[in-house]
Amino acid sequence: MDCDFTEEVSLLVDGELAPQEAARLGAHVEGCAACRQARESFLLLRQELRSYEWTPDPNAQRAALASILNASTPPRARVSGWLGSLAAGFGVQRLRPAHVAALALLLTGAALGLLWLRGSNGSRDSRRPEVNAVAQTNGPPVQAAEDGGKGQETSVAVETPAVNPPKKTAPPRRAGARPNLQREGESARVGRENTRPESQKPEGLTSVLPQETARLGGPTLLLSPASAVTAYAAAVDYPSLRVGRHAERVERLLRSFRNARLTGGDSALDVADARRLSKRLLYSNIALRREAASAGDLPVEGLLDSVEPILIDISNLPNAPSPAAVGSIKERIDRRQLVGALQAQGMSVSR
Amino acid sequence: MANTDAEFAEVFNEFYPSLCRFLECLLGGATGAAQDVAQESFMQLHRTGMERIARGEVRFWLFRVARNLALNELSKRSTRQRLFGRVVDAFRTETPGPVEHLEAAERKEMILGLLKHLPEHQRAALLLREQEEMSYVEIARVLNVSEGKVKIDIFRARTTLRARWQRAQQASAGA
Repeated sequence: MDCDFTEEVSLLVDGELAPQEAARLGAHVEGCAACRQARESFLLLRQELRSYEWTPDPNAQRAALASILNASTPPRARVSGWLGSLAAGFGVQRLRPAHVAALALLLTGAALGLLWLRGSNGSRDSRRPEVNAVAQTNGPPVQAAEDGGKGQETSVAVETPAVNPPKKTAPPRRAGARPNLQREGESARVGRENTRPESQKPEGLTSVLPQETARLGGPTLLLSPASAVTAYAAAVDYPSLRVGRHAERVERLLRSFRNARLTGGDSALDVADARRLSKRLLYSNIALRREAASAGDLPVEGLLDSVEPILIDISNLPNAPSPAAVGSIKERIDRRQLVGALQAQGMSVSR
Repeated sequence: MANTDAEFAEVFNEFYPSLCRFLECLLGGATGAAQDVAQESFMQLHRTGMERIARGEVRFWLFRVARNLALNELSKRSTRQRLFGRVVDAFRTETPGPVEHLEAAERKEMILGLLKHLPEHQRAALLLREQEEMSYVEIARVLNVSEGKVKIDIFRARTTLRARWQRAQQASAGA
């Protein structure tokens, strides 16, 4: 009874056929009883399914909304305690890197003033090492370079809590010993440590910074703005920041690739650049996608998943790609609206 | 915070009824479970933070999470429901009430009766198409499958329902 075109009739009623195909099939359906019946049945089924009503009870709906709002607190608003109070002082829900930088400048000024008051000879502040601190990792404190007091840059020891399991505390420090410090090169470990699930991560700067502040002498703590921003990013929102940065880079690549012309004189060079960059981004894309999948971050996982085939295709382009190959990639970038989606992802983080 | 809550409330009021309808059909008419799953989905949205999801994506995010939660619910209840459903069917009595109410209830029951014969993935795809009016691309994103699979699932679901419907009509005409 069914015609070979019945499956396409299903697409026709859903408006999923191209205009030309739809017109061709429409003409066929008019002359084919089986397809006509199928179309009528499909439309009748649609009507039946849409007639299924679910009328909410307004009171129950209001109660459900209230219970959700009361029961859960968005993670970004969950910063509490010392850092939360600080954020409240800035009049925001959570501290942004700009706030931390402003705070760092403020503290630097205060500390310099204090130093000026105390004088620089014989004070214990002069013994404090001056090493750029990016983040503190597990285990015993890393001794600073044995140049305490020699450096000129004033900075701080900021412990990044995301990498310090609460149970592994550093051994007791000698009186007057240097605070926990880490050199710039060790920052890569922070990224790896941050791949752990949220539940295993310590609370954040909130729990560690005040203790460290007290231990090192409170207001004499000096924060280098750049280090503080990096440390703050690593502590509070590192995975989403990495995703945001990655999204921005991929967006730039796809945008430039989409806008590039093969007919230009230096087009081969552009493609080579895109291919090299694409390979680099592909690895981070895979890693971030897996992280998002394990964290249950469905939108990010979906976005990175849709970007990955494009990156693979760009990475595999030959030195002199055919216009068809490049055109196909461009068409997919446009059809899936990847540039816009990546831009939105980047902006959602930078907001 | 107030802005976030207001935005969340707006999303909740916009999508809660349609999410409940989708889940009720998916879960075979279990109204309570559908509301539980819908509320759990919104809870997850609130925990995730509205600002992390683009406004245009929230609907798809919600349906995707809700469907995954519904799958868990279905697998948890599968054995219990199989046994319990038979007992309920055997002792079900017609409850008298207003004609409109009865008609609506009968219609719902008929739809649910048809839908329960479909595999879950076909049912979900068809409901998202017919009730939520999503495109195949959007359904593919919600269900995390390819567009081709969505196309086939919807067609098979329609074919199955059509055949059952015709059989039911023939049976009622014969009776």
